[in-house]
Amino acid sequence: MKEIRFVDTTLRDGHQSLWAEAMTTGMMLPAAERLDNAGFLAMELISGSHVKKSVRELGESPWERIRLMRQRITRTPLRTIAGKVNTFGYDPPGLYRLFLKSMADCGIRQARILDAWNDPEGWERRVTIARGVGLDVILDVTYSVSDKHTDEYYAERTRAAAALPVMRLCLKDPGGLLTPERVRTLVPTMMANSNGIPIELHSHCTTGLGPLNALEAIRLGIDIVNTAIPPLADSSSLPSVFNVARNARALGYAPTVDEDLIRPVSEHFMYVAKREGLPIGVPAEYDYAQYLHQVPGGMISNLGHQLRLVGLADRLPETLEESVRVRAEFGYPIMVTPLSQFVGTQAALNIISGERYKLISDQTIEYALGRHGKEACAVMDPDIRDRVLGTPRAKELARWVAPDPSLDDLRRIHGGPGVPDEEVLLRILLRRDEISAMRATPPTEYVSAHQPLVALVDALSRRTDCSRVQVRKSGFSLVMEKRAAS
Amino acid sequence: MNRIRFVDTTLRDGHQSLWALRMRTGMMLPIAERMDAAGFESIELTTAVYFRIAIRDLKEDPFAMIRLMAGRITKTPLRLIASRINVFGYDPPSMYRLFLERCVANGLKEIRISDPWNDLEGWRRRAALARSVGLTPLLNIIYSVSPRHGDDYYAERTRQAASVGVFRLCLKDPGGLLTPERARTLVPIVLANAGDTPVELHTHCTTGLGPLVALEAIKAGVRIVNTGLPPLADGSALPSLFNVARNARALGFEPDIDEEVLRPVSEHFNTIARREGLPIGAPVEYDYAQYLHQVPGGMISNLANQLRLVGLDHRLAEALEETIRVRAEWGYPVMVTPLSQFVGSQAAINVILGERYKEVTDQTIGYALGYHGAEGAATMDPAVKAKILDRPRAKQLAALEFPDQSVEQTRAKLGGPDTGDDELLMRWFTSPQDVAAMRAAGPPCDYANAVRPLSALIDALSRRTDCSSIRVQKPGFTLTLEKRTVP
Repeated sequence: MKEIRFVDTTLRDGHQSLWAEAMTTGMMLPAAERLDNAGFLAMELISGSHVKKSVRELGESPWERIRLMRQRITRTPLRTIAGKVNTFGYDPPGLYRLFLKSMADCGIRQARILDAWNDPEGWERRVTIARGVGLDVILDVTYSVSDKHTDEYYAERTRAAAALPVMRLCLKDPGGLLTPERVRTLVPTMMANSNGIPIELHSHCTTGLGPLNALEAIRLGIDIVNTAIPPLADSSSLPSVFNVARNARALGYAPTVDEDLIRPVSEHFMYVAKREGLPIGVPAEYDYAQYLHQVPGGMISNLGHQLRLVGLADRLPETLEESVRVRAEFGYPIMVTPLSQFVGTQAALNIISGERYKLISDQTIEYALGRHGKEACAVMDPDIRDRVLGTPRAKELARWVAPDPSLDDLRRIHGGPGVPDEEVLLRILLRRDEISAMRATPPTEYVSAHQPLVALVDALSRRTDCSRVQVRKSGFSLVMEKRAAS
Repeated sequence: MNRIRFVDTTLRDGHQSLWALRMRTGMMLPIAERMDAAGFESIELTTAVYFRIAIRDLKEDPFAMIRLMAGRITKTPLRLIASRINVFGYDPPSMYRLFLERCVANGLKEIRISDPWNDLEGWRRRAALARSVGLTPLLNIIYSVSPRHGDDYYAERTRQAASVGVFRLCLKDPGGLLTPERARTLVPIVLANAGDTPVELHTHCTTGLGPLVALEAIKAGVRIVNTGLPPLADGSALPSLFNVARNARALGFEPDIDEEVLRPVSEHFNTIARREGLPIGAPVEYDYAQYLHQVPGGMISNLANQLRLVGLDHRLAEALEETIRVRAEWGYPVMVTPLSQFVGSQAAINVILGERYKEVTDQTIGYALGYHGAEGAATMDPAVKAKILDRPRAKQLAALEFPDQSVEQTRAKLGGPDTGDDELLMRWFTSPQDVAAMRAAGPPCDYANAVRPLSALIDALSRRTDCSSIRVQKPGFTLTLEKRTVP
């Protein structure tokens, strides 16, 4: 029986998709050892966006998270996702290097690397840096739907990806746009062009098809699937490991993951979700409109918000249609961060101002200048590109020369003697007061159902409808009383 | 022709699939007019199984429910789903006929008919009976998965169904086993062989594929889709009307339905579900194992229960495997009630006793004798059939005759000549005592809900036990509610 292996995404993509990255280190720690023993091929732990989020909103050091988890997860490689460090801004190579080096120093062993254009040059630059700091590389080939993104396109890009010194490729479907039907032609095409390099599948459940895509890919020969553990699976996250493993088994495959070990992990996160009022992933209804505009769910709510601010909330459907048009004029970029945001924002400006490209965002100009991928210059509609670059602001932005500080420059500017690299990176991304506020509170393990007594005392002490609780059995008495601290 | 029409299943299959038929008349009445105004092609209202539950468990008159709803739903035809009355036992033809007559008299217009074998004779007999009492029949072509249920099978059965001359056929998928891929090959075959007779789609969401199958069927030419309104859609019920209509629109079709009129209906049932603790339908995860054993979900829990009673609950997986084997030996019956139950029970017995067919149920014998469809007896594995029939109980059952007791004989037994037809049927469904207890519980009343905010507020306040006096005051208005013992 053919073995199917799993990469867990719960601790990174799971809560990034469903909890807006709100999972604290303390919530992860009680689950760490079980996860390590479950037989995952790798575990996603962190990405660039988590670094800022954890310092600023959770008051936690991302480096401390990696180190604490690494102490408990000793067998399974921990993975970072490495697209950009500054999601919307300029990312000099020195900064990217600093980012991956800090990750590796703390205990990360693998990097899954993305280029928003599937651009072989962008891939190569990043792969070289990652390997230079000692990380194993998994290279994303990102799926998209447009006239351009055909089997031929994916055959060519897969060959280009496989020519790089990477451990594995990953068919990444961030929008959940794959369908079982599309998988049937795409997966064999990629496998035929990957030069024997194994391919992982990473398909989201946004349109409800993730579990079906996983099965179809398995039937076609994919034997590494990215999944998540409920309640951080389904909805806009990845398929549930329990679901994929069960279905794969029914199809005659041998999933190499210990589901019984993971069930308490699922219960733990369910407990956290309920207590903290965080969303619980559920299978989504099939939504065909996703295929038309391909605007990610998070961005739709954002567009709705922007329109509401200017009193145009009723024009959201029109804005989504406009984003279809803008995307075509932009040359069908893959609808993935940050490109999807550029398309959506320009579409909103076109609707708000009532005239197309009357107002033009700086990102649209930079896009036309090729600063977010050279391919854009070649594929953008020439009339639109002329119009965008004909503005005075475009002349200004065109004169800007991208600084290219080396890692040592960055150390010198932002650090100084005795300042570790990981601190240098935080200082680049965040304000000093944010960093010192974070330092004030070290992470503590989340009180959970695994510690029944502590959980009981904690829950009882939160009650406001009683001031005294007594538990008694023969030979044992526990009394809790609320009193003003003396 | 791009218009898509809908048949609503909320009031029948919706709560049958998700609330075990526990929807009360009072819960239906407040939304009846909206449902009628939404533009449904037809509304499924009830089924034979409901009658027993209404009388015994809900203490409500099922005929009164039909009358009250027919009084408010005047434009949209109301539909009955009843291919038999006694699901597992013998069905006297005289009582089945009387039942249909009374359904018509109380306000039903259409009947959707199944034969568990998709058998032409069974269809003809039932369609003729329905027509003779004034019901417009539709015939189900039931979908199943087995080596026998190929494209040729469905081409032939569809031609036969169309030859009966009914106004519509329905591709019925009770187990939610259709996949988009299968729909792509099956639907064109069914449509081609149905000729001019329109075909409805009725597919459940048990394996999570219902909404996809509906879209695929629409793309392939189906123009009438059976749906439910959330929270009585999805789960093991039918696809959500809102989902199918939205997706059909995105694909360029024109759904012929007023979704805005229906949103308050959905809210109404959501309020009820929350307040009464009833299940809320949600999309389910894809479950491939369903395709292997095809045992309906309700039956799996039942099998587990049987095994638990004899301390063998750890052998459920084995019992499910055994159902696959039994079904094959029986000639691949469609896994639909009652046949699925016969297969499952025999499989459980085989596992419990540790020897296959050492003991058999009366239903197994009846099946082998052809009492539940001649095709069953004809397609059964001959060696298995011989083993089942080679026992004294089989000889007994083979000698059994099924007299069709007349309605008047039944009436004489259950109350005498003054007993009206509706009363007689209800007594026959349950017992005179059950009907008397139902009558004593009083007539149904509207369920107080959010559509009437004030009465809902007063109702909710009066349920509170933690206060005895409530006062609402604003300039020029005071409302005081007080709990007192009645003097």
